Amino acid sequence: MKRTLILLILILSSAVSWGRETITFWYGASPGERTAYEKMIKDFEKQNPDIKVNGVLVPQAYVERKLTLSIAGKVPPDVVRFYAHLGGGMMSRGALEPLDGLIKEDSYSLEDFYPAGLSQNTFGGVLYGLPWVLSPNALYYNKALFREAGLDPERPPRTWEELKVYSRKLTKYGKNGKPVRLGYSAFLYNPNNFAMYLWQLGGELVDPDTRRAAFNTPEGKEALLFMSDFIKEETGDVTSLQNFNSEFKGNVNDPFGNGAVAMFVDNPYKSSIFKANYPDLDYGIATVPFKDKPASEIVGNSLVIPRGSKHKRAAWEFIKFAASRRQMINVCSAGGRIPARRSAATDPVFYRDPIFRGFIDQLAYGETIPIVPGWAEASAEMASEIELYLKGKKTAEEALSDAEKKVNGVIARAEEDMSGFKPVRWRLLGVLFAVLLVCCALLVLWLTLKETKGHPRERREAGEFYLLILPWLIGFVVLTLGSVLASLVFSFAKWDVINTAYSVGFRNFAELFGDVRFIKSIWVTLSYTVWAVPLSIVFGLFVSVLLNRAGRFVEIARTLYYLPSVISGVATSVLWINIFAPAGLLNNFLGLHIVPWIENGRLVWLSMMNNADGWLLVPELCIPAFVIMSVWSVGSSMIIYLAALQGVPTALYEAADLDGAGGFRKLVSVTIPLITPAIFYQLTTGIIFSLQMFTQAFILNNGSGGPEDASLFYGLYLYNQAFGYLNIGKASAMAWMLFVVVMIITLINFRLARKWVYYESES
Amino acid sequence: MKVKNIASDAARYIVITGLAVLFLAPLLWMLAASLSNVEEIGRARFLFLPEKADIGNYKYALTLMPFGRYFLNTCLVTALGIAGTLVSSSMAAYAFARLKVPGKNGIFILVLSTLMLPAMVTCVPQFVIFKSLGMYDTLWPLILPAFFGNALYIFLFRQFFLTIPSELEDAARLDGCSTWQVYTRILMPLSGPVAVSVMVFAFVGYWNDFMTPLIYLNSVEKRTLALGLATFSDVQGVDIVSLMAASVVTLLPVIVLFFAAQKFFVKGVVTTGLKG
Repeated sequence: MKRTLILLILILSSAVSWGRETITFWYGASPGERTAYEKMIKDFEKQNPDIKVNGVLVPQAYVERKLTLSIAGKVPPDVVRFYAHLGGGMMSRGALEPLDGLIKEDSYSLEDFYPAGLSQNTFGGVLYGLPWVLSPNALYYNKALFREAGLDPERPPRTWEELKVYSRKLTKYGKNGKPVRLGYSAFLYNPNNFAMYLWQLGGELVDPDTRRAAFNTPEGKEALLFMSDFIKEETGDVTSLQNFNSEFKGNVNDPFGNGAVAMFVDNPYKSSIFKANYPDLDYGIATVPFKDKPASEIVGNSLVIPRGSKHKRAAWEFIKFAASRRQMINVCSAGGRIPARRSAATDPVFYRDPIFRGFIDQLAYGETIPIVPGWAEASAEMASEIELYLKGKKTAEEALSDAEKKVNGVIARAEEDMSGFKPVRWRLLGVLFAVLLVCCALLVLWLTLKETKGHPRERREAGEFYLLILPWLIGFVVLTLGSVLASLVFSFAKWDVINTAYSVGFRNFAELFGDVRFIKSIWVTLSYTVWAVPLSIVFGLFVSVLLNRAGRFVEIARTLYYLPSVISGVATSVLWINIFAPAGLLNNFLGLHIVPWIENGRLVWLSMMNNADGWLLVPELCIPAFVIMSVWSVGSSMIIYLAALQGVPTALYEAADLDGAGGFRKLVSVTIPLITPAIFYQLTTGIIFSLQMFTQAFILNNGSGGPEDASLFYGLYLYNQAFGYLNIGKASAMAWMLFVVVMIITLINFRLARKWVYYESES
Repeated sequence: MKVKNIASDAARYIVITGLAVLFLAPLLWMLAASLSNVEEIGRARFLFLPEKADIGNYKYALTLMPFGRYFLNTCLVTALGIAGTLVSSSMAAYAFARLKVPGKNGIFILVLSTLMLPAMVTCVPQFVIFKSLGMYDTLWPLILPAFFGNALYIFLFRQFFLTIPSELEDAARLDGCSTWQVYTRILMPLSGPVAVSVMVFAFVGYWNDFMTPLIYLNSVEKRTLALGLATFSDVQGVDIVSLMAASVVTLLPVIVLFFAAQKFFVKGVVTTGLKG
């Protein structure tokens, strides 16, 4: 009876879901926001029984990759929580569905939305996204510290001059002359910081009409000077400032929360962290101090429909629901953000809260980063120029005019009119490649038949050979070959994934060789490889010889040695960031005075390195940090050597014993020669993978190239070109250049191997 | 002689222990973090012991995602992945190491060449291919490639097959063994250690794979553990303690497996080579 009932319910419910339309919604969310999102989806489904929402959590760092691929594969999601920084690239390329038609159809009113939110989602006069949550930057200031310094906690600084005076009173130094508390902290290479001061002087990053750089002006110079003066006065130089900042890890040890910073500029999200982790913190929010006008950036998230969605109408219904006053309030209060609707933002929940109110007041002066094609790439170029200025390696004039040139170049390339070029002729190339493939296959067949003529055994062996490699061959032809050839075609084309690919000849290559960051990435990668590969081989060999025996102790040790190579993804990044931090595991360990030394007849403990800088913040220490990481995960090569060591016949050792050979002698004359095939494997694959190094670099420096691009690995730059800037053509050109180099190195390796690699089967 | 042995053994154990501490330190940090609360981590500068071990993070981490479902999916992908990888890679490797065929080395370089092109540029067309095969939002893009052999493991197997003396094979051939029988009865049984290595690598690879599921999967019921871990971090907030707790749980099977697998790397278990 019960079973029939369940069956009946099952049938009924499936019948119901038959008529339902499913839309896919991608969103990034902090752990706190997640619950609010899930509730919102449930509420929507209750209200719209004919639409089912499949909510997919996509971390922000990976949105661009997943979204780009899904658009290329024509399987885009239906609604995406969209980030303003992706706006320029995606909107200008037509990757998003215009909302104007839907808005007109429903006579949907946009009046309630803050204009700053709307302008972030508009390109060329067309609205592409409905503003959802806003994160305006405003001034956080610590009231308790204000009182301590004799400042009025109800009167935060209003101008640059006041900011300087206040900051002087609030900054404190330790005995070593290093700051223990900063009065005001807001400087990183992020061009958005520069933008804030520029806006406050009445300047602009990009002229909205001409879409060209507009910051190489007296205002631009003044903004830079303001930043560098502040750094000089507070900490002396940029690196000490960064060290100071990076001593504070994430949300749980916030410098402001701990009273180590008295004032800073950030968005409202931080306040939710303070609420959770520092409930007693006595602070206020004020409009940012300014020179001419109190401008600051608004980071916004909107809801968009990617082009090609098959459920546009349902998606629009969901967006309208999510952007309703009620849902905005729920989502924003969970995530510490400001609703994009005036009626929601002025709800007592937000407006009675003095913290939120501070941010809402700031909205009136909100500015947005330029919505122009190529801005992601342009801002990266700009950031490195600002960094060079702040580090004293360029003058303000040089930095500004170089940045201007680069920004203009990038934008011009991004919006270039391609009508003078021919589209890539896929069909023709496809046929060509297919013919070529068949010819190759026929050639191989003919050669094999010719070579084995009159030798039936050899002919059979050839047949067996192709049968044995058949799985690989099928995979190669079906899955790999097509994509490899496609990328070869892309390297001679300009393609942004979304629109038609145009043949541009060798232009990608020519542009790359004129690109300073490209050249830099080659050096970074080479210097890493030169250290990492030999060190890993030697260390791996050492460890495995050490552990090549039986016993419980050794078994446990092996497991421990292997562990670091098993931890994955996000966990690794958190781990390594803690290891390389200024006061991290590594510096503490090195500072443990671990080297014994005899000085004047007395035993002293020397510190190996008197270094208090964060490893990933100092250009010279970046590569060593990555090399340490690679040596740390020596576990995989240990396994291979251990496996190889099992194949060394014990008889050979016995013979060596009889000859009276010592341990070292046996290692050099017996062990190492016999495991050369494994060493050769490590060398070859080590070089191949080191030159392609990507994941760690991507995770550890948030996808940027680190200080002065010191960890801008070739693979990372390639990734940024492909998914960050949507220059698939350039990325493919980079990939193929790397391919050729790696191929040459590998061939040389194989040639040299004949001299030193010993195969038992060929003896 | 004996004294010297003891001395060298002692030195060896001291070095092993010393290095073990280095390798273990990050893991201990991870474990401590997973048992602590956020304030403690914030204060901690070095390795630390949580004041009172709190398994609340584990409870939270395990309930935030449908752990059982993700665990089963991950097991499925990993098991099929390992099986496919082992068979298809060792077969091809055998052909490259042992059979004499004109043009063999050229084809082998072709195999290796698939490792040399950064996946970043091939992943766009690859995505289009899988999608046109109707495999978007299924587990197939995660599993299928395993059955087509992995260039890395083909290379590894090949290197080991080349160290097995050809006399063994010749003798077997004289006894009437076919090519297939040489592969299944002579080479594979002699390749325990390398097969175990490949198994371990494949296990870790599939178990931890984050990017492929992230790109290809949408449906909740198809997600894997590695993808689930991403739940604990986003833009501005990494929930360190829950992340570490979930990571420790994900790591456990790997530790157990490795501890069992490495017993194969004990001298004398396999005897290859010709004695005397």
